[in-house]
Formats: sequence, C-alpha cells, structure tokens
Amino acid sequence: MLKKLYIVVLILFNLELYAQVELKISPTLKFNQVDSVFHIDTISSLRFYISNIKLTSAKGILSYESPQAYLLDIENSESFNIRLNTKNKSFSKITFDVGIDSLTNVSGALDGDLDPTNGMYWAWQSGYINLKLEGKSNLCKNATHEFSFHIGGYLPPFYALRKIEIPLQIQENNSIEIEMNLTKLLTKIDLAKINRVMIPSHEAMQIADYFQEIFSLK
Amino acid sequence: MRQYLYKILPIFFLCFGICFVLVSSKPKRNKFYIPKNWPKPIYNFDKNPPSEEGFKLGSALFFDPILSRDNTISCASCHLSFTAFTHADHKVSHGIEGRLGTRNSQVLINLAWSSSFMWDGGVNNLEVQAINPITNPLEMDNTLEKALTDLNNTSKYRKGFYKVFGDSVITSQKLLKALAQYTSQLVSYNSKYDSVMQKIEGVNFTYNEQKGYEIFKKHCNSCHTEPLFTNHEFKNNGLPVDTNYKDIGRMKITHNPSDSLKFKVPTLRNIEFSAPYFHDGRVNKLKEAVEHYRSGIVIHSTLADELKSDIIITEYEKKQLIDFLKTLTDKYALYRHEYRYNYSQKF
Repeated sequence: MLKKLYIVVLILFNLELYAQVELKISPTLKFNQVDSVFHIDTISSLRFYISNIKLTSAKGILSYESPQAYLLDIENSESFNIRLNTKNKSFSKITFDVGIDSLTNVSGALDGDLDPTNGMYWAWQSGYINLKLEGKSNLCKNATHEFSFHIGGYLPPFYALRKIEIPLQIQENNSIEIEMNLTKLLTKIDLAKINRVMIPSHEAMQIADYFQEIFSLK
Repeated sequence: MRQYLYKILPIFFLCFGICFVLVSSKPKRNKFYIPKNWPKPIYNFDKNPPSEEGFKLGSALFFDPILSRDNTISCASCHLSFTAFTHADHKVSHGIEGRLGTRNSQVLINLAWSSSFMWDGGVNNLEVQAINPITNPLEMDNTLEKALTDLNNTSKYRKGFYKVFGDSVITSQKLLKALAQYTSQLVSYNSKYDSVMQKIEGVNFTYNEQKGYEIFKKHCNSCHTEPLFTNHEFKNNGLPVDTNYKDIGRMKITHNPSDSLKFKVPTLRNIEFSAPYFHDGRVNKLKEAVEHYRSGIVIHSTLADELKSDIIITEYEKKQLIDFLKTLTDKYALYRHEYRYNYSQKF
C-alpha cells in the first residue's frame, strides 16, 4: 500500500516537468589590438538589470514568463548566469527588458536585487537606474578622461526601459548564450561628444536606444 | 509498514506545528480609519499592513539619531509632533554639523493620501522618501548600509524587527517599511473644522470663522481642496524667485519648462502651527502668507491659473480667513501621546 502511495506522490511531484535552462549573458569588449581605442581597464564598472524574461517555444507559445529582476554586475561573474525553470527546451525567441518597468518603480521599498543599497536607485527622484556604465577613455574630453553613464527614468517623456527581442535557433539546448557587445555600445555613444549622463533625459533615452543592437545570440 | 508511519507522522505534525506558530506570531493588523466622505488612501497598506508593533518600531526609529552619520540627527529633529511635524521657527532646516538645507520642513500629516512627496514631488512612494534625509549630506549624511549596520548591532532593534517582520536581520526594505508604519499613520481629522463638517452637536463656526470659510471656498479651495486641504498638484503660487536658492521646483524633476517654479500644494491642516511658510520658509506669519495672495503675486508664465485674477478681500475679511484657517488645528493629533517620543520604548 505504501509503495502505491509512494508512486502516486512521485507522479504528483513530476506532473509539471520543468527543465533548467541557463541564460548566459557575455559582455564583450574588443581590446586586443595594439592601436585599439579600448583597453582592459576601459570599463571600471558595468551593472544593469534584466527583467521580464520571456521565452517563446518552438511552436510559438509563451513557455516561460517571469517579472523577476536580476542585477548583473561585472564584479560578480555568477550574476551573468540566470537559471530559468521552463517547460520546454527548444525556443524560437527570447525577450527581456534591460532595466526596471514602471510598475516596479512605483512599488516602494523592495528587496534582493532591487534593494536600494545596491547603488542602482535614485533617492531624490525615485526610480531605478537601468544600466550603469563607468570607465576611462582618452576619447573623453574631460580632465579625468572618465565616462559615467547612469541610464534610468520611467516617467514619460524620459522612459529609458528597452525591450530586447532575440530570435533563437530552434534546437534543444540547456543554455541560451547572449553576447552583449560593449565595443558597439561605447562606439555608438561617441565618447568624444558625451561622457556623462546622470539623470533621466534625452541623452539617457538615446543611449538606451542602442541596447537592442548590442545584444545578440552568441 | 507501520514503522514508517510511526516515523513519518510525528515529523508531519512537527512541521504543521512549526508552520502554525510562524503564521500566528505575525503582528495583528490594525484597520486604517478612513473618515466619512474622504478619498481612499493611496499608500498600499496590503504590502505593509499597519500594526501596533509596526507603529512602535517606526516611532522608535523616527526619534533615533542612530540613522545619522554621527548619531546627532533624527527624523524628529526637523519634524516635531507639536508643530505639525515641521521644524518650528526654521525657514530651512539644519542637519548634521549645522549644515543648512534649501527647503522648508513639511507637515507630515495624512501622508497615506499623498501621491508624491517632497516639495518637487521627486519621491513617488512614502516608503522610499526616508532614503533622502538619511543619505542627503545636508541632513543625516549617512549611507543606508551604515545605518543598517548600526541597527543590526543594536539588540533592541533586532528584537523589534523580529516582532514585526519575523526576521531579526534588518534590510533596507524592512527599515523603510518600519518608518512608513509610523509616518503613514500620522493622521489629522479631528479639528474644529472636521467637527463642524461632521455636524457634531454643539460645535459650530463662529460668525467670523464661517465668513472665513466662505472666503476660503471662493479663493483657496481650488488648490487647497477639502478635506485634505491640498489637491496634491504642483503650482506656481506667484512667489518672487529667491535669488539665493534659485529653486525651480518641479522642473528639476520633469525638466519641463512649463513646470518651472511649481511646488507641491501643501496641506493647510494645522497651519496655525506649521510656520514658517512656503517652500523656503520665507514667510514667518500666517497673515503675511495670506497677504502674499492678496497683494504679492508675481506674474510668471507658469503662474497657476487659479491665481491669474486678483484676490480682492478687505483687511477684515483677511482676518476672517485666518480665523477659519485656525479651525484646521487638530490639537488631538498635535498632542497625541502615541506620536511623541516614548522614553520607555521596549519591544
């Protein structure tokens, strides 16, 4: 009798079969050429949020959806691997937000990756910083040759949240590897013209507009 | 087979027992009273249910200078309960080491009905407002991390947070929610005006107060809308620009030129005790504040529509208006025992 009970329990636990798929984001910066503009210490800080991850199955059905926000920080390499529990293993598309959506921005004091002590929150103008990119480059025309981009803002007209959509090769896999091309981002920003964005603004929106182009399947 | 049952059943009951104890040790949720005909509060109490333990914890934190870098400034340093939670006699407040701020300390009353906070509305939720005074170099000059370290090193707070949140590890979210437990429950709706509105027997406006109320409804109600005495909007009330602070108000947040010199309409409740007045505290007396609206309005492109035509009232009518404004004083709230510092605070 107990054996039958055990089997029933086992079946109940496995009715919703979840696969573990790992989303890996790999930021890249080309600096191995001798006369390259960017160097190993070009970027001193890169931190950004990924949220509202959605996976569409090979059949075109939404197979995974989660509003959870993850803080990715180059100081913590583990943060670039996100584990997702999904019913499928083959997908046609992944979408995610770079940053934090409006609803979360008005939800008061939050915890975990959204803890304001993570340094990704503006106190004087409530809201999350979607992406922080800081470093040094001779292209910058200021005295310290430093650049500092704090891209945020959820109130129109400075809505700096961007949705990234990447089609995937339909095949069964345990990991989805996305490249984040920082060379492209820094080049598009044009450091000679702009080296500092600290508030929700047109400049922040402009930089956020580049995000779609820098994420691609590896 | 029976042996398995004898082993599993006690474990099952133990788990059930633990769960039961954990669930039942949550603090009892208080009902947040909404006066008749008042709008619904904006603050989401479901995510931070008000409780007596929560209020006591928030109150202790509100009065504790531990939140400041050098342990000298508490929230109460600039928000004193007797003067409607403002900084008595101070145009702008001074924080740590006597550093002067740039704006007047606001009335902390009926905050659960507010959709935005600070004179420029930069803060969108009551919970996260406290991050500003704690981290502003002119106020408490602290970091959230250091404040949390100091709180976590204080056994009385570990105990208090455990009682309210079921966890003695204090995070920024818990600290902010605890403070909101106190600030969201600072209410004022028992003034003479309220008693008259509720038609409480034996409470009536005097002749002058009634006349003042009529003048108020004619000239002031459009922005200082009853019953909260604010419409929570941002308005340019025609004050000449202060060349010292050059404060552009709301425009600092929205970067929209049409928001230049606009500030949040403050509540007029307890105005008798919340001097000095206006966003930079430039006016000391209530009669001077009223006089501004009568004769001191400076025309500016962003001037409130409500103030575009002159407010013509006689000197006597001005006095009547002030008599009415004094009926907004709620001594019950101002002297409320629970709002004050509790010398024997125990958790």
